Amino acid sequence: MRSSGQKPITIPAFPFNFPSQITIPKFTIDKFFLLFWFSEPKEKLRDKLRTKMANYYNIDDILTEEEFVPVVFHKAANGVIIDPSSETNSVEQGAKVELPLWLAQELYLRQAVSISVPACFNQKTRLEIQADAACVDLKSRSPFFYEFGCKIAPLVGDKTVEVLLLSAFKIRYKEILTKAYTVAYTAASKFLTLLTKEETNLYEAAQSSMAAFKKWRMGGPRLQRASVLGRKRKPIE
Amino acid sequence: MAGQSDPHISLFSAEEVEFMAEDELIEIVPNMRMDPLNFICGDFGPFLPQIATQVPMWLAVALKKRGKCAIRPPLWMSVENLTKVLEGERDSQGAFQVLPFHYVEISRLLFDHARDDIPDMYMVRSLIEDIRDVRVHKVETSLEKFSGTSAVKIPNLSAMEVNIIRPFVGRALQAFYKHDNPEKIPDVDRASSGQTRVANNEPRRPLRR
Repeated sequence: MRSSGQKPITIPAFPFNFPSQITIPKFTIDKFFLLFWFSEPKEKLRDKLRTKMANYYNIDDILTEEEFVPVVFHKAANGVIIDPSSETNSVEQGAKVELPLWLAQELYLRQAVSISVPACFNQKTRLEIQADAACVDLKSRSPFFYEFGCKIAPLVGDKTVEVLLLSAFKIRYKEILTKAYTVAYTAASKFLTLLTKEETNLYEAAQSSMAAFKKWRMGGPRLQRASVLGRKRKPIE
Repeated sequence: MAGQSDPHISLFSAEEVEFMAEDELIEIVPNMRMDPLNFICGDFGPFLPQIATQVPMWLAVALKKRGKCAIRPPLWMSVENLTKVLEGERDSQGAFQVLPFHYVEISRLLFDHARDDIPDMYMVRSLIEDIRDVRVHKVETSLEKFSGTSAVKIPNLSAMEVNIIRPFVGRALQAFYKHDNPEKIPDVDRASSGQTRVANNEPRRPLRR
């Protein structure tokens, strides 16, 4: 949390009711700040932290939460610069903006915003997945398509997102399976560019275990001689 | 397991699977006289010239390297049996033929160290390669049938075959589980936190003075 130094930050005491208008001093918002600023009853906060902690150091999870989602503000917020080119540093009620998921999620829990379905789950993508899921370039939609979908589905209250994810994964799984064990790496590289991070992990797991087995079967020296052994001492002249 | 080379994807390396296969018993015919050996895994011997005895694979290989014994190839490793198995594998689409759990590793060890003890070595070797290829292909086709969270049962799969598909299948099933019932995952967290809370609310026992 970095403060530019005009106002001291005061953390309100528990329980803290959400004000009709948020006034945030000028500094960079980060996740921790949000957790403590809009404080909740201690128990609830601890539970929340625990579930968050499970993936706390998972870099993929962090990157997933950086994905942008479209939101609509229900409340006006002062002192927040979301769009650097805007004239005033405030957000009006009813403004439509794109926020990263971690911020949108926290604001949503406090009923400050409502989240709509992100662009990567729009009608066009759905039709493409229905047509042939294996050929859709999900990586360009979102490199964390599945995780993002799982996180966003309860927030937008759209059951069809989950159905879409499952049906897409079922078909793409078969494609990965056949490619992973049969096709050479160079031939599959074009296919690899379409895969999301999760699918790439799956593909690489299959490839590496097969490669390790082939290496073992080919054999080679079973015992490797340590480089120090067998080195004759130099004759003293 | 402590010996796993890469615990992250829970994969044994092929060398580790081979190491485990070396505990399998095999029959040898010694050509020297030696007292019984008492190991943690059991007692082996006594070793008398021309009298067959059962020893673990690693001991057989060690003795063979020193020229102290001849290894008797296991019964399943005959050309007739392997031909039958190969035909069976090709005929039945779903089921796998019965072979020892470590057949890939045992055959590799014998081909490396006891080639003079195996009759029709080249025939046996190519038969085993063929059987393995057919089986691996069959495993892949059976994996294609996955379409959701389900218990997977593939009987008669060998250690090395399981090891090859383990990382892939593990991850795939995890992903299927996640997408099949996404609302179940937070439930687990809630249940566990609920339990701890119950534990906290219990009346505390007074400390004994």
